[in-house]
Amino acid sequence: MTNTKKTAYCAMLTALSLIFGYIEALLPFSVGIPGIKLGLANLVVVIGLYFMPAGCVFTVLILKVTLSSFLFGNLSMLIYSMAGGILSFFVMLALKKAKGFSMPGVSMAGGAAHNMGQLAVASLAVESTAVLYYLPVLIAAGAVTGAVIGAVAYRVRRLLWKMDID
Amino acid sequence: MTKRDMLLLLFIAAAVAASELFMALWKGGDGAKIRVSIDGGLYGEYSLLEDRVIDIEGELGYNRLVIENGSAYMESADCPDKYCMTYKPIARTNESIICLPHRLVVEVVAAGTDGESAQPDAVTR
Repeated sequence: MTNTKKTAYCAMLTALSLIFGYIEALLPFSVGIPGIKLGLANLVVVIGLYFMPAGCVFTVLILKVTLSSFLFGNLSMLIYSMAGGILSFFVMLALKKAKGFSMPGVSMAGGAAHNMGQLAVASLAVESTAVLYYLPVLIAAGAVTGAVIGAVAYRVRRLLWKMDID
Repeated sequence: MTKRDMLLLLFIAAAVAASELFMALWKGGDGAKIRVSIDGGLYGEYSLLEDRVIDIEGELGYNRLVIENGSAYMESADCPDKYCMTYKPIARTNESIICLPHRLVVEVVAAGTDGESAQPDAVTR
């Protein structure tokens, strides 16, 4: 992949993830437990991992979390999303490198890791282990939403391949 | 679904089950009072036995906690997300209500535990 192409893809994916973040902010998808959401914007990160160098995807992730927190959320959201996003990124990268895991599988682990990272920072922020009460439900929710996002990502990637995008 | 995916799924399910079990064991009996802390520091402790309304003025914002019929719930808050108000009333030890934007934790504790030191030996020694 040439540098120009990388720059263009990075910018495009960042823009796309912001649009997903916007759509997600519009959707009234809430189950009353903080931290649970679909994570549409992670679609971009999952797909990105499969056709771009990891460094580029990481840049997109950092830009996405920073910009969408300022646009659609608040500062306290930024640290939770950042911790979750970074942990999730490295878990997904490791599983992808490990071979043998399908895209939904990689994304499922990423979703679970995202929520665990988020919760870890939350418990540091309030300096209490009381938030760990949410651990089971957050891991389960992360795995489910992650698997859904991964299944969609798998379909999108097949379409991208047909269009001969590398 | 590959074989490794299935293993991963089992692993995640086991993690969920283990933490669920841990929480179930950890959640204790009837609590006697609630402890309010902001940013890890103690704000106040209130008995669950007497009904009252507690206005919590933190540096980051305002919350109104209500104790009623032996359980506590958050009636109002000026935080942006208002998640704390969606919690079910708490009454058993280790149950808690958390308001992340205000770094506020409300937890139920047993009668004998006071302030920061939860060890019973601290006094008798």
